[in-house]
Amino acid sequence: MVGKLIKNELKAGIHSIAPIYIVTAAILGLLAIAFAFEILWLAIISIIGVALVGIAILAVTLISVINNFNKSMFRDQGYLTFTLPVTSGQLLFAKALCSFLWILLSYLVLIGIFAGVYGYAASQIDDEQVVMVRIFLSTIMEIPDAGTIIGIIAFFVSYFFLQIIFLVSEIYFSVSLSNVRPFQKMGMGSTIVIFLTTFAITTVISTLLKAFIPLTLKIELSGMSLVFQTMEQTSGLAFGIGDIIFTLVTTVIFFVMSSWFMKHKINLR
Amino acid sequence: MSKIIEVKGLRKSYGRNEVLSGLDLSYDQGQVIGLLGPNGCGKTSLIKILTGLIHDYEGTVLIDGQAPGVYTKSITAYLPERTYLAEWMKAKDAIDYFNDFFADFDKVKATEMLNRFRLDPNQKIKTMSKGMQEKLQLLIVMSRASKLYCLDEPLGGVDPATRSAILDVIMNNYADKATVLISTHLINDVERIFDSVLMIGNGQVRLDASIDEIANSGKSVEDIFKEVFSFGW
Repeated sequence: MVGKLIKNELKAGIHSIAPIYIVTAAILGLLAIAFAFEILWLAIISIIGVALVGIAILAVTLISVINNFNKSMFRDQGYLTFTLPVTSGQLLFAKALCSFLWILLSYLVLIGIFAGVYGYAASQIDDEQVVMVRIFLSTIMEIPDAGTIIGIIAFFVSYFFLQIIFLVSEIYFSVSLSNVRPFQKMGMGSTIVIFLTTFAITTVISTLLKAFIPLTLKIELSGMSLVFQTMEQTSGLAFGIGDIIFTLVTTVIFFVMSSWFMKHKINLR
Repeated sequence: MSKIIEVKGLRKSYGRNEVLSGLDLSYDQGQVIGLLGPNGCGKTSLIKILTGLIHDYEGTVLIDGQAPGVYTKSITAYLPERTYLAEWMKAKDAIDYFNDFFADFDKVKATEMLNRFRLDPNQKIKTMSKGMQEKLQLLIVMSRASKLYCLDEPLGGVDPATRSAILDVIMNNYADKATVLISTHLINDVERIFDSVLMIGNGQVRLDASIDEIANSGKSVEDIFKEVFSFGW
């Protein structure tokens, strides 16, 4: 059943998110034409368009994730969703996984677009930026142990994934709570207020934990090591990881509370 | 054999407003039950509880011997009084969706009914009229071979000719030995199809009788309804 939930969730997502990717592809097509035929004005307009649409992809994806979750669970569609022969855990898992994939895709496209635009712009202005990238890459290649490179990449990818999962849990928690009786009458306004409030609180706590918990990942040419010092006390390239446990625990709490609200506190309108 | 519906001491409140105040019901398989009562009497709340949409109630609710959950949802076909299909779906997507999730769904039957109703399988639901959406939902729900059908106001807001067509679809398509619970306040149109009638008002059962018992009293269902609810509910 989970597979079927995921399949239908992705189908629903495609209908709301696909248009922005079609627009992006069209603008990238224009950019390619501009480069191929060396049409400067078209290249400039297309680059600006690509940069704007890159930001729009992220915004549209986040709005779609919020809207799809709200509509399919707590509006008319909820009458079908909640009468499917599946558990609320299966429902939540399928929705969270698909939301995660859509947000990840939007970030990757955004990063790709800005890397491309930056690279092109830098190469047009001077060679210094290109040289810096080459130095950076050669520095990475100088790290003797291939396992260290993989470890660093794996850590940052995992951390990035965790932040996306956390964002999804925060969205689901905010949407679910805003459909509980005292907030229900305020509509989407309560979702925004709850989301911004939880976002602000969790961001402050995360930042403080990152800075003051003596648990830091130290990255050197010789390898990566865990040191029991604060980020400030650690020399060289250091990354505070005191917030990771907090983020993990908060993510689980947000998902569990969303499920609890669905089961016990929310009556469909 | 367990009862298909068994409800004991059912209470449900929205804030301070109690809509169901200690309901007791029990039904065997294989009958068409008319769930009657004035607007706001708790008909929809009762159906939502039976279909597993509302969890925060007091009392015992059993469907085929089990509390509302994954199993009961797999044997209960539910038609709400609103469009619950996603707007992006085409008619054929809605059929595929039900085919994915309900083992008792008959895709061939649904497709045949779609053609009979002259609905375009490629038409998006959001471009359909309200009447077309209602027909689509009804044919999809009645394409399931469920043990229990909960139909919430299936005749609301449609003309008399369509009402008759809807009743025909319901009566010709529900599974053998299934129980059909139909909530309505259009008694005249539907009393001919009921095997029993449940009238609720003021959160309590006001009448729970077989159609034979009502016939023996020499009165119609509508007469009884007027008697029960004439002095307020």
